Amino acid sequence: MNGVVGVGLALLCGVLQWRFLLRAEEPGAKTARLVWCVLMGAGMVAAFVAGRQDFPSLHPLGWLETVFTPLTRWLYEVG
Amino acid sequence: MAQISRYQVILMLVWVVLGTGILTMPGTIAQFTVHDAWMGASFLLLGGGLSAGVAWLHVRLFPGLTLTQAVRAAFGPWIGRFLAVWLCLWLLITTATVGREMSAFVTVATLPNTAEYLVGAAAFACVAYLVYLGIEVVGRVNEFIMPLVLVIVPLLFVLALRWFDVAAFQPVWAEGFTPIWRSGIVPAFAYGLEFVVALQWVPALRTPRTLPLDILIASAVSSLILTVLVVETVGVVGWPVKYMNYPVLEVVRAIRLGKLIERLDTVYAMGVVAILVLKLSAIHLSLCRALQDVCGTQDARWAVLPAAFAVWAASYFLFRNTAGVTAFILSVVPGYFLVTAIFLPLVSYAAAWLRRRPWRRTAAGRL
Repeated sequence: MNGVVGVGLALLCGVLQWRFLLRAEEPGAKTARLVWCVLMGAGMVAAFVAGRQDFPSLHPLGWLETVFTPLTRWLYEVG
Repeated sequence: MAQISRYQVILMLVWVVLGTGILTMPGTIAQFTVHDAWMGASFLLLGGGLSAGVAWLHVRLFPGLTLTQAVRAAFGPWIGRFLAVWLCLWLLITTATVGREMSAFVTVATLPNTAEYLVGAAAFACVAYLVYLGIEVVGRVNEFIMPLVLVIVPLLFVLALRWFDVAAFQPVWAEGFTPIWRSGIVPAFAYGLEFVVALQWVPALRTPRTLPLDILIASAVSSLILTVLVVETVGVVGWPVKYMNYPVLEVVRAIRLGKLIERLDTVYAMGVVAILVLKLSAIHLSLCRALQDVCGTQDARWAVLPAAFAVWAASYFLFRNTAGVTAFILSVVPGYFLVTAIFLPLVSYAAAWLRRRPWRRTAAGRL
């Protein structure tokens, strides 16, 4: 259900911003359109995955934990 | 361009900290110490001081630029853009964390039969609308809510004092300094470093040079309010505060006056939701401004909806449940924020200073 709501919201955003997506010609508009699509695409995939039953097998923030947990642990210990 | 006053900046910064502070801070601090929990919230001043130091350097080295623009100016188009994307990710993850805390709180406290992602979608729709209207509107909404808070918060505080017990704080300093320091890590390095998001608002500030002082004032005000809140919560709830997700909610639920006045937690829940929307709006503003800087567009409005959508989805994708959010805040956020909000800007300022160093100019002049 989460994924269905996600696709619905993405379509709504696309309709609301059709002018920007099709006509914008200001500086940086191409990159902005690419970023728009990346954010929307990633959002839809994330919404679908978050709604699945086997979601617990994923650990998307694991890389941050690996990098920053030792520093955080040091902060706790230094006092 | 719309500009905001110092008063609005201070209010926005105060709500950035208090948004989740009034929700979870007493419980987080009590994980480490209950007797001396009242000292934990004051560590917010440490984080506020670090953020003010970074802001002081920023407004002197890069007056009128956002943090992402400064990073790009310091490191050039490629490394600078990579670091700006890193900052965007930081803001996105921070907003997702707050968004998940908010929807979980609303589901637990007031709407137990509503799906969490629908609550989150409604909240992010409000946030997107506020941010779309611009920083001035966000600042004015912050001003609007202030009188309501000034009436409701002292009232709830006084009404709950009936159950206050000083014994919860005795003996003082019994376990030494270590648990107090540990209880202050999240206030200092998670909440205190959130003030750095204000560097993204620099072009919209009426007086950018006073930003460091504004951050110090906001951190002092937030620290004082949170200390009072922690004292009241621990004094009323006592030792069980360690095992509660929302201890302040329990304090408000305990208020009863005669047979008619009770369940004032509805007022508290409404206040928390309003403040959390303001917090999300402030950080979302920074995220949209960062996306604008990465793409080099003249306006940030195009980024409001896709960023809100991505953050909404990320808040359910990144965290399985509220326990996951709490674990992330306790074990990752302090180190992550220290590197991203303090070390990264400092390295950027050092790089910019080295590029502009006087001996280099002299050598170029001789040539």
